Amino acid sequence: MTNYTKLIKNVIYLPLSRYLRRLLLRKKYIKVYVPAAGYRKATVALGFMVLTLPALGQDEITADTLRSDSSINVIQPLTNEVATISISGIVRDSVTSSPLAGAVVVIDGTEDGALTDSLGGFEISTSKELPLQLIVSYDGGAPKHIPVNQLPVGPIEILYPAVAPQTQQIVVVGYGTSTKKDLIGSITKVSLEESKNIPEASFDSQMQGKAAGVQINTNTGVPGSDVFIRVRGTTSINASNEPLYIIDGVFVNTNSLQGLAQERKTSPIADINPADIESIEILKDAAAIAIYGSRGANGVIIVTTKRGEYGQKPKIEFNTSQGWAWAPKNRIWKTTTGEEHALLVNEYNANMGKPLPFRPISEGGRGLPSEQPTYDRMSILNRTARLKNYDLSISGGSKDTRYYIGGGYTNQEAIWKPMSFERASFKVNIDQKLNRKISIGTSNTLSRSFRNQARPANGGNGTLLQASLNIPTYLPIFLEDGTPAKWVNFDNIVVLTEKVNIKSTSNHYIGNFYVDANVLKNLKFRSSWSVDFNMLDEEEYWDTKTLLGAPPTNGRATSSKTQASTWINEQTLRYSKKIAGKHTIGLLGGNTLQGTIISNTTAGGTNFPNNSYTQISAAANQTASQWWTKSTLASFFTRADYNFRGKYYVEATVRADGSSRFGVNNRWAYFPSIGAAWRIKEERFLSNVNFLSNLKLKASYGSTGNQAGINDFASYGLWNAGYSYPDNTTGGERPGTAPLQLANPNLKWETTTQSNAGIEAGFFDNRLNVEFNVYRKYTKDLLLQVAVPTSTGFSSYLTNFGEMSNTGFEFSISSTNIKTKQFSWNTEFNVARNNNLIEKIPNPIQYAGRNLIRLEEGQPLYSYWLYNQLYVDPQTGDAVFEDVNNDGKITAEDRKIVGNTWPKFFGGITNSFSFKGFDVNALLTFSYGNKVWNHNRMLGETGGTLDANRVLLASQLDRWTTPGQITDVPKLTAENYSRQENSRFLEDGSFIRLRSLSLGYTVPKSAVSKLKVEKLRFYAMASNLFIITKYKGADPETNLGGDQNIQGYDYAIPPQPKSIQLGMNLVF
Amino acid sequence: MKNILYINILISFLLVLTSCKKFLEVEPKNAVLDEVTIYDKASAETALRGAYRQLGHTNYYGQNYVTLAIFPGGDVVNNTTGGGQNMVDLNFRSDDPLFSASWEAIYNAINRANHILQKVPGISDPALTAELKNQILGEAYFIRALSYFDLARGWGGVQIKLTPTADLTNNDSGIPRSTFEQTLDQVLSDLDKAEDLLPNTVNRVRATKKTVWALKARLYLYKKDWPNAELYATKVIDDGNFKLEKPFNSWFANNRVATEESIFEIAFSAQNPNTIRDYLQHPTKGGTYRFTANNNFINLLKDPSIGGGPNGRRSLVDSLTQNNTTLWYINLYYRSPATDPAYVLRIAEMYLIRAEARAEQTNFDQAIDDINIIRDRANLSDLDADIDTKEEILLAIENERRFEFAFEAHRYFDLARTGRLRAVIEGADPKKKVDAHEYVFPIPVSQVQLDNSLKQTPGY
Repeated sequence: MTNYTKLIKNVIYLPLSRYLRRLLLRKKYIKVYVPAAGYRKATVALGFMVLTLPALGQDEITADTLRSDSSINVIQPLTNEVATISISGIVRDSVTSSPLAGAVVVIDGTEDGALTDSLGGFEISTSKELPLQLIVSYDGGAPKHIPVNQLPVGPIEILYPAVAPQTQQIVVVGYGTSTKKDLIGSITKVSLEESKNIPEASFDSQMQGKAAGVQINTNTGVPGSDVFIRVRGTTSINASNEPLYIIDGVFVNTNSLQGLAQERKTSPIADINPADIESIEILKDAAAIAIYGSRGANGVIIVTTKRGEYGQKPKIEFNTSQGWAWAPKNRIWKTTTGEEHALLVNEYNANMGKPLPFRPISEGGRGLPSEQPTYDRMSILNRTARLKNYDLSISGGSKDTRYYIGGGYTNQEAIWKPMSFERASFKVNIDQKLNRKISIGTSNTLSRSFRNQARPANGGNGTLLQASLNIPTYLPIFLEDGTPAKWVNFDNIVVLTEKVNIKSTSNHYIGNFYVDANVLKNLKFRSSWSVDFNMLDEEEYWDTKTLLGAPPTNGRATSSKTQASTWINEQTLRYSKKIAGKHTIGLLGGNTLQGTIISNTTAGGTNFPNNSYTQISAAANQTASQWWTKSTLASFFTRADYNFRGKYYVEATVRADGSSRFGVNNRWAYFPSIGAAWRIKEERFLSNVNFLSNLKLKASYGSTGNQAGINDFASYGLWNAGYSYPDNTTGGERPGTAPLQLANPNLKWETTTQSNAGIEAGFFDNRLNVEFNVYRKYTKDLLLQVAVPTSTGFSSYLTNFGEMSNTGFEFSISSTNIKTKQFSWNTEFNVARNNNLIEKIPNPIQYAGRNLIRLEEGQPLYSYWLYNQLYVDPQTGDAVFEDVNNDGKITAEDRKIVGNTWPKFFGGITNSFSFKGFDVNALLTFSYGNKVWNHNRMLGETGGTLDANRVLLASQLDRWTTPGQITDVPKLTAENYSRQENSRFLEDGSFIRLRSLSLGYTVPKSAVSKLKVEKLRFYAMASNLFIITKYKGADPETNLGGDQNIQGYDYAIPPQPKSIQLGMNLVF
Repeated sequence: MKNILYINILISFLLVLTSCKKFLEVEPKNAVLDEVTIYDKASAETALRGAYRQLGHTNYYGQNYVTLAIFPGGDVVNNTTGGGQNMVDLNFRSDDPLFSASWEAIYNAINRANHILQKVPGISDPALTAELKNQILGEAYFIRALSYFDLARGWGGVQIKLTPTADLTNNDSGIPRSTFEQTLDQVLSDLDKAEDLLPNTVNRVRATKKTVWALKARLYLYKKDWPNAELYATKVIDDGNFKLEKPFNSWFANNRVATEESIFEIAFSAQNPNTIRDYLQHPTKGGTYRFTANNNFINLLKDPSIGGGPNGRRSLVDSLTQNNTTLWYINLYYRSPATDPAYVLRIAEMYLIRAEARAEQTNFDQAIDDINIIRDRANLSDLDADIDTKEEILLAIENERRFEFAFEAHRYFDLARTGRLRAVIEGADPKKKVDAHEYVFPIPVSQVQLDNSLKQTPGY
C-alpha cells in the first residue's frame, strides 16, 4: 500500500472529464482511476485531480483548495501492524459487469482499505479477524456491505451498482450546480444528444416529448418559426407565457423581432446552434425558479454550452448530415375535383331555387360539371426539401486555459416553396485561471440566420395557401395567353413560388464575461457582464405580378430593421461550508441590473419604375416610420440552503425585483420560496431494503412574478402622433395627435404562487427510476387587457385583474431494461397533465377572427366559443344547433364554449437500444384529449354558397342529400352554412407521432485508431414517419400563431414534414 | 491581479448603489405623457387633426362604415367568407365584428373631439387668437356632431358622452341610451354651436360654416323637418362655391380630389390610405375584391337610360374578362397610393335633400326640377312627365339616390330612413328576409355585456 500521508506533497495535475469536474463543484470527494502506468492511486479534490506518486514528488502543491478544504478526507496510512489476512478481489459494475477502477474498499471497523486498480482489482491486508465486512463505495454512491465469513480461496467478486451517469447527474440550478440526489426543486435535465439531429432549427422544438410537464408544440413545418412552449401550463393572458431562457448566464430575448406583417413569427432561439449545447435544464417549481423572481413564473430554461477541458489535448469533432423532407401525402388536404365542385355548386343553387351556374355554355353557363377540368395547385406549392447540416468544433486546454471553438452551418428548406432557413454560427468559450484565486472566462455566440419567407396563410394578399388550396380546382392556373391567372382575391401560386418575396437576416450575438474570485476561505465572488444583441433585417418586394404589387401600385417594397440590445450586470457572493462533517450550509447573495432597448425603423415604397428596381430609393412613393422602447429591471436575491448528512434538506430564497414598467407606487415586489427534501433511503430502516436504491420526498412553496410581454410604458397615460391630416386642400398633411392609453399608476406585478410535492424512487440499483410530482400554480393580479366599453374611445386597458390556476401532475420513468456488455435497452417515458382554469376575469374576452376563442370565467384558456351543431336532421338535412337559451331561435346568445385545446395528458417515450456498434433511438410523442379548430375545413365546407370564390374540400361531398341519411354535413342551403362558428370544425386533435427514429453505427475503434480517429459514427435519422390521429386536417399540432391566446387554430400552416437524413460523426 | 478584482467589485457595488429609483425611470419616446397634450396653439391644432384623421379610420369613413351602408343595400354580392355574407343577406348579428368595429371607431372620434372641446377653451397662448380658438372649437363640434349622426342613423339612439374619458375602471358607464330623437337633438345642438363658431369660408377637407349647413340639411331630413331641410340645402346650393361637376364621373375620375362637387370629403395620403380601395378592386388591379356590384345592379348601370353612358354613373363600375367570364368591380375608389377621398357631403345630395323636402311639402314642381338637375348632370333625360304624385316623386328620389350615391355611405340608411327597406330588399330577392328590428344595426354584443347601462335594441 502507498503511504497516503505523503499524498499532499506529491501531486501532479491531470485533466478531468467535464463530468468529474462538475461533481467536484459539489464538493464530492470521489475516487477515480487514472489509466496510466504506475499512476495507480488517485484522489480528487476541488477542481483538480491529485495523483499520489512519490516519484513525481517534486511538484509543488498548487491546489490551494485542496489544502483549505476540510471536507477532503485523506485515506489514512496503514499502520505497521502485521497483517493477518489478505483479501483480494475485483469490483465490477452490477449492470454491465465491467470492472470499476477507483472504487474504495474498506474493512468495516478498521482503517484498512484500498482503491481498486484499472482492472477493478484490490488487495487488502488487515489484522482484523474473521468474520468481517467489506464496505465498498464508488463514485460517491451508497456504500455496499459485503460480509466475509471465511477466507476466500481466490479473489472475490463484488458487484457494485455504479450509479449510472443519467441518474447521478450534475444538474445546473439557479446560480450554481447540484446533483440530482441533492435537488429540492423540480428540475428536468434534457439531453439533446439524440434529438439534436431532428430537422428543426431551434433546440426548444427538439426537446419536445423529453421533459415531463413541458408542453411543446412545433406549430409549423416552417423551420425557424416560433414554437409553443409552456412549462406547467399557462399563467397569464396578456403578459408573457414564455419561459425564461438563460444561455451561459445571459437572459436572452425570446420575443420575435419581426416587423413585417406575417402571422408566423420567427424565433430568436433558432439563432442558437443546438450542436454547441452541452445540457439543458428546465426549472419548474417554486424552489427552483424563485431565485429568478420576476422572471421565473413561466419556468426557466438554462442552457449550458460546451467548454474545453484543462490539460486536454485538442479534440476535433466533425458532424454532417444530409437529408430530404416532404409533405406527408396522406395528410395533405383533399379537394374536390372540378367536376365535383361544379356538381356541388349546382346542387346548392338548385336547392336555393337559383339558376345553375354550371350549365351548357350555349345557355350562358360555364359548361356542364362533367366538362370541368381539374388543376392541381398543391403540387406547385409542395416540394421535396433539402436539409444540410455541418458542425465542426475544436476543444481542449492547457494547465490554466481551456477553450471551445465551434462553427456550424445548417440549411433547411421548407416543404412549401419558397421558404427556407439558413444559419451560420460561431461559438467561442474560453476560461483562464489568472492565479490561484482568480479566474476569468467568456462565452460568445455569434450567428447569422437567413430566412426566405412567405406569407403562408392569413390576411389575403400574397399568401401561399390561399393561392393554392383555396382556389376552386376547376379554375385554370394560366390564362389562354399564358399569363398566370388570379382568381377571387388570391395570388397566383406560380408567381408566389417562383420568386422569393420576403427575406430576413438575423445577426445575433450573445456574450458573457465573468470574473470568479475566492475572496476568503469558502467565499466565492462572481461578477458577470452580458450582452444579447440581435438585429433583424427584413426586406420584401412584391413585384407587379403579385396582388400587392399589381398596377396601379406598380411594385411594393418594405424594409424593416429591428434592433434589440440587452445588457446585464450581475454580482454574486457564495459561501459554503461543511461543519463537523454532517452539516452542509450554503449561502448565496447577489444582484442583477438589466436594461433592454428595442428600436425599429421601417421604410416602404410603391410605384417602382419596373420589377428590376426593388430598392425603396427607386420608389416614387415612399413612407417611413420608427419606434423605440426601453425597460430596466433591478433585482436583489439571496438563498440559504442546509442539509444534514445528505438526508434532510431545506432551502429558502428571497428575491426583490424592481421594474421600470410599473407605476411608481408598485415597482418593487418580493418573491420568497421555501423547499425541503428528505432522502428516506439514507435512513437506517431502509438501508437493508435492497431492491430500493433511492427514495426521496420533496416539497416546495413560493411565489414568482411576471412582467414580461407587457408594453414597456403600460402604466403611463399617453398620447401619440401619426394621425396627420391636411389643414386645407393644398398644403398636404400636417401632424396630428390623439390619446393612446390612459394612465394606470397602480399597475403592478402579476404574481404566481406555486406549491409542489414530489417523490423520487430508484429500484434495483437505480436501473429503474421513477419520479412523480404534483403541483398547483395560482396566479393573481393578472396583467390583463381588460375590455372596456368602446364608447369610452378606448377598447381596453392594461390592469391587474383576474386570477388563473394551473394544477397538474408529471410522471416520468427512466429504465435500463437490459444492459449487458453487448446489448442495452433503455426506456424513458414521461406523461403529464395540466388543468388550466380562468378563476376570475371581469368579462369574457374574445380572440381570433369571428371571435372563435373566448376567455370566460370558469373555463380554461384556449376555449372555443361556437354554435353547437347537435346533428343534421336526417329528414330535412338541416343543421340543428343547440338552443342554449331556449328562446326558440338561434342567435349569438346561443354560442357557447364547446371545447378547448388543452390535452388531457401529453408526453413522450424514448427507447434506445445499442448492440455492439449499433444504436437505435426512437422517440414517440403523444397528446390526448386536445381539440383543434380546423379552420381550413371551415373555409372548405361552405356548402357552395361561395361558388367560384372558394375551394370545396372533399369532405363537402358528405353533405346531406337524401332523407334518412346520417351525416354531420348539412344540406347545401344558405341558412345551413351561415354559421361558420360551427362546432363540427372543432375536432379531436389527439395524436401519437413517431417524432424521430435513428439508427447509428460506430465503427470499432480498432478499425479507425490507426487513422488517429477517436470515434467514427454513421447514422440515419427519420422524423415524423407516422402519426396516428383522428384529426381530419393536415397536422393536429399546427397553430396559426400571432396572439398567444390563440392556440389550436389550424389554418393554412404547412404540416410537419416527413424527413430522412444521413449523417456522420467524426472525432479526432 | 488582485487590483482588477477589487476594482471590479468596487464598480459593481457602485452600480448597485446608484439610485435604483433613477435606474428604473424610463420615459417613452414614441408617445408623450397625457398631462401635456393640448396646451398651446400648435398642440390644439395637432389634436384637431388627430380627430379628423379618426373620421377617416379604416373602420369609419376609411372603409368599414361605408360598407355597412353598401352591404345591406341589395345591390352588391359578397365574394369572401366572413361577415360580409350575413350583411348582404340582411342577417344582422350582434356578434358580427363589422358592427363593433365601426361602433368603436366612431366613439373614438367623439372622445378625440371631447378632449379638444374640454381643453382648448382654457388655453392661454397669445398665438391662439380668439378667432382661431373659435374655429378649432367649431370644427370639434362638427366632428362630434357628424359622429353622433352616424351612430344615430346606424344604431338608433345611443349613449351620449360629452366629456373626454378619464377613467376606465368603472364597469358601468351609468349612461343609458338616448332615444333616436334625443341623439339627433344632440347633433343639432353641436351643429348650432359649430355654426356660430366657424368662419364662413370654403374648405372641402375641413368643417366650415357651409359644411355645417350641409350636415344640418341632412339632419333635418332625418328629423323629417322638411322646411328646415329645404332651407339649409338651399343655403348651400345658393352659396355658389359648390357646383355639380359634369360629366358625372368628373368628381372622382382622373385622380381628382376636392372638386367643386365636394362640400366635405376626408383626405387620404400614401401614409394614411383609404383602405376601401383595396377591398373593392379586382386582384389584377391589386385589390382583394371582397365584394362587388351584383348582376342586377350592373345590368341597370349598363343601360344608358339609367347609367348615363361611359362617363355617367356607369363609370362607377368597371369590368375585365378572365376565363371567358366577365368580372365587374366597383371603381369609385381606384387610386394608388389609395388617396381616394371618402365622400361625406356632396352638392348633389343637397339637391336631392331639397327635392325630398319639397316633395314632402307637396311642392312637386320644384322637387322635380331638383331631380332633373341631378339627372341632367348624370347624362339622363328628365323624369317622365307622368310622375306627379308624392309617392312617385319620392320613389324617383329613392332611385336617383340609389345610383347617385351607390358606393358611398347612403343606401341602407336611406332605405331604413324611409321605411322602404323590407319592400325593396325582399322585392328584389325573396330569399332575403328583413325583420322589423333590422332597420337599425344591433348593438355589438360585447358592448352590451361590458356596460350594464347599454341595452340591446329589442329584437336582437
